[in-house]
Amino acid sequence: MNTLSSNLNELDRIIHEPARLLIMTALSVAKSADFLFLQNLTGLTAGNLSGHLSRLEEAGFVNNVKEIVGKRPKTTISLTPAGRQAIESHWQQLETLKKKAGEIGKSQS
Amino acid sequence: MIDPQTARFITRNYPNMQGLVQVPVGTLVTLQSMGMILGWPGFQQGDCTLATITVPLTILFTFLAFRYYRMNFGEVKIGAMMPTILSSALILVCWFVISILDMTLLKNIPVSFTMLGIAVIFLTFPIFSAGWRRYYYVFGALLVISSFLPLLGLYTKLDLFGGSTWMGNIGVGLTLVLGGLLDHWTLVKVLKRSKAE
Repeated sequence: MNTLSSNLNELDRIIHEPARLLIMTALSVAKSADFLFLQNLTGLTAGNLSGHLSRLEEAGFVNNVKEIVGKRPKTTISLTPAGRQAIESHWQQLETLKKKAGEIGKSQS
Repeated sequence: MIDPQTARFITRNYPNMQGLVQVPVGTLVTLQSMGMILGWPGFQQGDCTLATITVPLTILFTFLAFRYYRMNFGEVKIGAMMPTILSSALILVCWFVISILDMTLLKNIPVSFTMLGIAVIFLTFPIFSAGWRRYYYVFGALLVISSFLPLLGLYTKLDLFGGSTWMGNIGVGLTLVLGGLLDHWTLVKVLKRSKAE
């Protein structure tokens, strides 16, 4: 049980927040995605998404590239190598936790 | 908000899920074949008059479909394009070789290997989409059945892509149209659900 709670504590809080986990997971299978796509995918408002992306950028997990395409601003977001590694290890940690929780459930029944 | 698994699928397959892109080509193929069968003016074999209007229109609508997705749903870049281009080219070359063999060495076998090749391509769509886009199993199965229909002697396998029936062309055209509309519907449904939650 102790190992389980210590594993839970090891989870990166920045990534583990549901919206940010979704953003990082989506970006992990792509080279990059633009702001509009992430907004559609997450269903967040522009302000909320912007806030989450700023947190991820501060943590060094994503790169935000802003440019003007055809008189319209466009933000392209991609994972940094550190971000890619972080999301991969985060999912591995979640898998381990799931396994351990399953084992505890079995031993108690 | 949608679950991470769905987000992963939609992001990875976003370029393939832009179904409206294939609708103009599918419509062109279907209408062209229907016109041949029903003898619509301007649709006769060798008559290129209508093609000078329909082909540019198809290209225009395809371009507009790409633009629609870019403006309304955004853009995703998926890794290196080279492996995708190479594998698509390899598939096309294989299918072309099969078609040539179908008309030469295999011409006496009453099964359309050309159609079978197309059916196999459509059947791989759900396999490479982690079980999504299952409707392509139905379309693929129908195309497999039509490739074996010459066995019944109703028409020759050459009639599938010409002659009097153009059935193969209509089958492929309708698959592109219906598959495209269903791909689009799936994409929009998932994204709308995300917004609603």
